[in-house]
Amino acid sequence: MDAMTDAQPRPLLIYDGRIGDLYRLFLLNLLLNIVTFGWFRFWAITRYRVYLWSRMRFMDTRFEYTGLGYELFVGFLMALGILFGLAVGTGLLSVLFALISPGLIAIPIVAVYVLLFILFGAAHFSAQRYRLSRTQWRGIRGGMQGSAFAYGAWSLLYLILVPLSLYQLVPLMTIRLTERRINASRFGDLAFNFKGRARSVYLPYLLTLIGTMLLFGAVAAVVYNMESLHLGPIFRDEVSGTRADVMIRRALPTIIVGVLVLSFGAGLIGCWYMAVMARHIFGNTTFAGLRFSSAVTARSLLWLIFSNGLISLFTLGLGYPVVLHRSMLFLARTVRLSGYLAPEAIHQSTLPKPRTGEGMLQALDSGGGVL
Amino acid sequence: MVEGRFFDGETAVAHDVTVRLTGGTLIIDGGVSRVWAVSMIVAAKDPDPDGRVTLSIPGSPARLEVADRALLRTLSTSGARMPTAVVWSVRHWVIGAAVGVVCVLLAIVALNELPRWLAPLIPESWERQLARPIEALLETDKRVCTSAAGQRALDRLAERLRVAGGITRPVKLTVLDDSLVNAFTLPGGHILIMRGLIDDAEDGPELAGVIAHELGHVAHYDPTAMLLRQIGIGVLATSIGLGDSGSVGAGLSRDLLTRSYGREAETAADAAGIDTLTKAGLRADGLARFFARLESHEDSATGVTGWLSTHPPTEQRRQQAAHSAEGNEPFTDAEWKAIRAMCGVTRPSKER
Repeated sequence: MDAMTDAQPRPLLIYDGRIGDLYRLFLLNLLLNIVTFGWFRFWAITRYRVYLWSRMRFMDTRFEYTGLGYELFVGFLMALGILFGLAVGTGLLSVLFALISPGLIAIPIVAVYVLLFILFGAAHFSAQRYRLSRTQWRGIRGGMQGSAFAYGAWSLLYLILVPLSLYQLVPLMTIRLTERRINASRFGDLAFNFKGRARSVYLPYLLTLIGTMLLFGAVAAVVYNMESLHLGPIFRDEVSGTRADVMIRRALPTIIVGVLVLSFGAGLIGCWYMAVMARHIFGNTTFAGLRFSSAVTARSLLWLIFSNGLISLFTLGLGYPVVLHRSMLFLARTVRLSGYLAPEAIHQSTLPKPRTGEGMLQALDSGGGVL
Repeated sequence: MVEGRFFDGETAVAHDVTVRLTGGTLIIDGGVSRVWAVSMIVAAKDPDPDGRVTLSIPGSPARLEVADRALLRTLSTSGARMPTAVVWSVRHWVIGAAVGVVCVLLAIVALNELPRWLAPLIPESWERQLARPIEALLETDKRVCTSAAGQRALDRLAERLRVAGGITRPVKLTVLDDSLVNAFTLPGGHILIMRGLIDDAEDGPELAGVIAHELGHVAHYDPTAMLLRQIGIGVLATSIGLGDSGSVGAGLSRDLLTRSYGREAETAADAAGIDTLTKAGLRADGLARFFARLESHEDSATGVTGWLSTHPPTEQRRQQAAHSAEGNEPFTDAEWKAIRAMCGVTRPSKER
């Protein structure tokens, strides 16, 4: 039976990668990365993806990653070129403006910052476009419709609105931007569809925000009381300069423990909101006749992040293949699908394929990452 | 005749097909029919866990999945491009792990030894360039004490020790107005002494001992070697994605002030310092006495961040540094007084 007709949500993604294979990739990538001073990373990312995509099955067919390392490499060089050009251009314009009036010097600088924020948002959109265009399943590839710059402009707008709303618009920003990315996504000639409601995730967000602030206050109070001998004089402005440095260094172990407790606790509280958000996004997304849902719970997400964090920490990064493997298993286990998908209804994508990928994200975010 | 699954790249329908090899072509039949020239066929690297290999023609999204070993072997001998991944045996893993361990060890040795060989080769002007930002940072934060008489006394001692120690490049001594009991050496032979250390020293030979020790670091190019080492670690960490390049530069100056050059380098500097003092005909017992007293009030607020924190006391140091009180005084009484008054206020050494 080619089409799936089950109305019950069930895990339809099956991941069958092996940690041993990932370690083989990891060790070779690490070695080549060291030898090339990190320039191998574009090919390393590509090799991971080729492997991971081919070990993920949907409806009896494996995914295929068709991207090439050099596409990421060229994309990165181009992004560096653009950023360099922007820096030089801004410098020249500043000098020109300063010649007219010293007060105008700020104009090109503010303009370039606005442009950088737009580029940063656009980088996320175009990175997703690249990945979709290089993802193939049953001979059909994905794509993305629409302008990355428009997306970047929207993300800048939300970045301005969020602080103005005293951070009450964060859920709205997440939902609206995710909507834009999902609704622009295509597989073959068919579109993904997501309609979210920020209202339904607002309460969990507010409670998370309040909880995190309370936690911060509590941790700060405990740290201050435990180290009042050293921190007190600084806050009362009794000491400064080298003396204050010495005092802070003496209190540092307690401060570090405090920061660790705070970040761990904030993560603990944040997992609930992240799980609610993931369920909301997946649960309201459809593709053709398929309806997505997510089985992510706060507890399972917390355990994944916590245990993966511990593995990374205690293996000094050498546990990366294990972390990757567990993340893939988690993804396959939690993504559920129901409904009907007729393969004959999906036709090949006619959207243009970007020639290079993820460069701006690599350059601005120092990441991009494998997944 | 071999069975397979074919995706035509136009819709997502899976076609069950039969595949036949005739001459230089692969004939695909069943619902659709295609003829692929074998020399054009490219196979995905290694079979998937179900044993299937995906075949395609470059530039086309169409895919053919076949599992038949015999057919795949024939394809690869008739000119199809079929990269096969090496399946790693236990032997591969052992060799791989050994190569990895050797690489890590080589990297550690290289990071430790290379800077020591390279540091003396770096031109003096570069060293001074390296030191400049740190000097600027310190001198905006702290006042430089520039009393002429005290500076003359210090310069005279530094010159005697430099000649006795066989150091060919110029050495510069600066006193900074700070209560920390500390002294350190910047690349390019610039020794910085905190006022707190001069206050803490009981007499001239103790200060001379510390200066001689720091001159030992100058002679061995320790500060420059450490900077090079830090740069190397930073580059390596960044290159394999363990750190970011931004923090490398920021960490450099801090490390130079807060980190020890390592046990070996400290012992060598001790030995060089005592050797130099003896050659110059000066008392060589000051360093040991200075250490002993620092340890006795270790728990004071400055002990943890001062000279003792970068110069941890060792039994070896105590023995090696315990030298005779024979020899000339490094400073005249007038000179010692001038040095102690360099930052404007004279403090009796027992005041602490």
